[in-house]
Amino acid sequence: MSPPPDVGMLKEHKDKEPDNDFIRLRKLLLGPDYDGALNKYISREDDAERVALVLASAIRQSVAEDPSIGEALAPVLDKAFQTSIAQNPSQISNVMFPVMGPAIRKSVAASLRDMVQSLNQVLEQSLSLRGLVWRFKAWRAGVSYGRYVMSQTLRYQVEQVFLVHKETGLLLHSIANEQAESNDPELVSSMLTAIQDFVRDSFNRSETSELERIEMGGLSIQLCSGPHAIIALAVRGNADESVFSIAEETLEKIHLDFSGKLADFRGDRAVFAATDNILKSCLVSEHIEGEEGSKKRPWLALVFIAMLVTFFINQSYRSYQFHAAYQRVISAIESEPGYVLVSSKFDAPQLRVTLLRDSASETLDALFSRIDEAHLHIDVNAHELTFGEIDTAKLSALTLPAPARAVTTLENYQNVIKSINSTVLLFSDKSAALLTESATELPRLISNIKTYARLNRELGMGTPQVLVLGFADPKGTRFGKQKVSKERAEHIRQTLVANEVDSEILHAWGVGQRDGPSMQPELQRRVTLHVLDQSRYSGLPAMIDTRIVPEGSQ
Amino acid sequence: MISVAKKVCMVGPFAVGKTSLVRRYVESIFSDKYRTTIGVKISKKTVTLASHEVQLMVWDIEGVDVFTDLKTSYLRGAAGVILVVDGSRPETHRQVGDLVELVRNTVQDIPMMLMINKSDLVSEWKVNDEFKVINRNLVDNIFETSAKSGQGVEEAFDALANAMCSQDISVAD
Repeated sequence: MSPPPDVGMLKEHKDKEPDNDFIRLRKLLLGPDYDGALNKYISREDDAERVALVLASAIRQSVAEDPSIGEALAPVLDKAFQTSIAQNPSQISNVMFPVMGPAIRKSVAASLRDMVQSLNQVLEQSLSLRGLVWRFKAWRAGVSYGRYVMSQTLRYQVEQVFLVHKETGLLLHSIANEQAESNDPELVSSMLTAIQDFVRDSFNRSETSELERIEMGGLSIQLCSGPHAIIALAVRGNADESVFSIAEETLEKIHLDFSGKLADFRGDRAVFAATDNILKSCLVSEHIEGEEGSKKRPWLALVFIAMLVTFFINQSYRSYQFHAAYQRVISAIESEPGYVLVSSKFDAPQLRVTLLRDSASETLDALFSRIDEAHLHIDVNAHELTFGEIDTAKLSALTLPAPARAVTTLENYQNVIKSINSTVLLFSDKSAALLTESATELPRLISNIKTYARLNRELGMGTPQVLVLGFADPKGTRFGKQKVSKERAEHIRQTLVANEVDSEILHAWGVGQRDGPSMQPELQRRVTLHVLDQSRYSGLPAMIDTRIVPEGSQ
Repeated sequence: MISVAKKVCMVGPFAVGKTSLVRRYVESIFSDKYRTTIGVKISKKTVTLASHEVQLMVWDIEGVDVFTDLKTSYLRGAAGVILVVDGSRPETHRQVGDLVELVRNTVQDIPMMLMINKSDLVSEWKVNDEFKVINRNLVDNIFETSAKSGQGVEEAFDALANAMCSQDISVAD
């Protein structure tokens, strides 16, 4: 680099130096280095001059290429501002005055707007169905409503960020968002380091292994460790990897900007207040998107259920109306002079009525067109009577039900005996095991035998006796058939005795195989019961009455 | 006024009253129920000195006995150490040398105070001048303290805070 010809110092030097021999001597001594040595001597100020010329454009260029210059300058500017304000506070207030007014007004307006918005949100959340449900769920879960709303609408949120000095465990700086329930961050940070030490000591982990994560309930602490400092994030919810990469980047940036201060940290934390802005980039959160979409009401199902409910309400209302109309018709017929209602039966959707009418009374058609406003399906079986001259033919045609007849004890007794005698219990092949369908008959049989024994005593019919006869099918030896038939009869007898039938009245006999070849073998494997009828010896009327009492006539 | 934070460790044999001293100092509470410390318990107290405001993060480390070694990893980064022994138990006095050496191996050149605790137990007090003379060179200062009465506690912590800050100044110079 050759020196510019108009360098002031050199010129002055030459001007002030009258002794040209001296200069020649120096040139002889130093040779071509003479100019270089001079240049070296003056270059620092020269550089300053040249840097001053390009400083502004250099900064501009640097900002355009690498935005980190702002971060690099920030602490310097902070310091400069601090010094300037400390030296002359009135100057800064003069400068700030025209800015402050509008800024304050703007800030107040913004907070008012925020307040209105949050009020609106609160109203919306408290009054909506979802809000009420959330309130209930929050109450049930024992957490505050606000926290519950957060857990429902946030996938995760970084609540607090701690910057911890690695060596001492002292807190360098911490920031928290407004919702965070913050405890003493200094203690938290020390304790985190202590936990790390504790885990390392307890599990003999090496110095280089780091605690990365502590989890408790919905909260987790994510630790990101650098050579001099640790960033700890208190995260509520499930954070994804992006959060850690943000934390790592932040930590790298802090190490870059504060490397000297971190290494020589002796407890002075004030300098790390400047990390505030860098740490704020870690306070991230992610809202659950498309929550409305994913939790859509099952409208189709709701509509379907509503339709079903409407249908049933309609049906029951119609049925009620129908019955009311039916009752009206009945009572109208009953109160109609010249008509006698014999029977009425509702057989949906038809009403069957049987009635007698005086031939002199109002005609059927006229009557029904008057009383049946709802046009019901009415099947009328009307018998016309003419009073004065009784028509016997018509009377006999009346299908009046037979009058109910009391069933006597004797008849009851006979029925029970018949029922017992007609009992046939079938067994499976070569065994004394009852078939299922026969087993279901046992309860009725037991009750019948007990009734028989009771009525027998009541009527004085002598000693009650029931023969239990076991039969076998043609298969097997004679002895075998005899044996299995005896077993079957004995099995039934024991079953009856076990069910509190008097053992005195039961006699079990195995009779082997007695049936002809035309009888099916499965019907041959049976037990039948026979009541010894002693009525003919007791002087009471013989029970040869085989009439069947119609069911339901009692 | 310069504001600094410092890590201070309480070290000593078990049941000499480290936790009680910290509670007395930080919360001004004393309870004679003995609770053994497991791992470490951390408390915070701010001391205002002439030139500094010092926030002490006091690491109350679990007591040392024949089964438990001093976990030196807790000492890392400490700016000051308080060694505590029991004035009524001479066997704890004999551990001072070993403990000082352990601490010095981990953190060099930091102020260290020796607290001879339980000075309220006058009838059981077994501290002779010889003990103090022997240990005078191992530590920066020796205090007779009582977590029960509060005697000497504040003085010892204040002395440590002062020592830590003046060390900073000498390093800076």
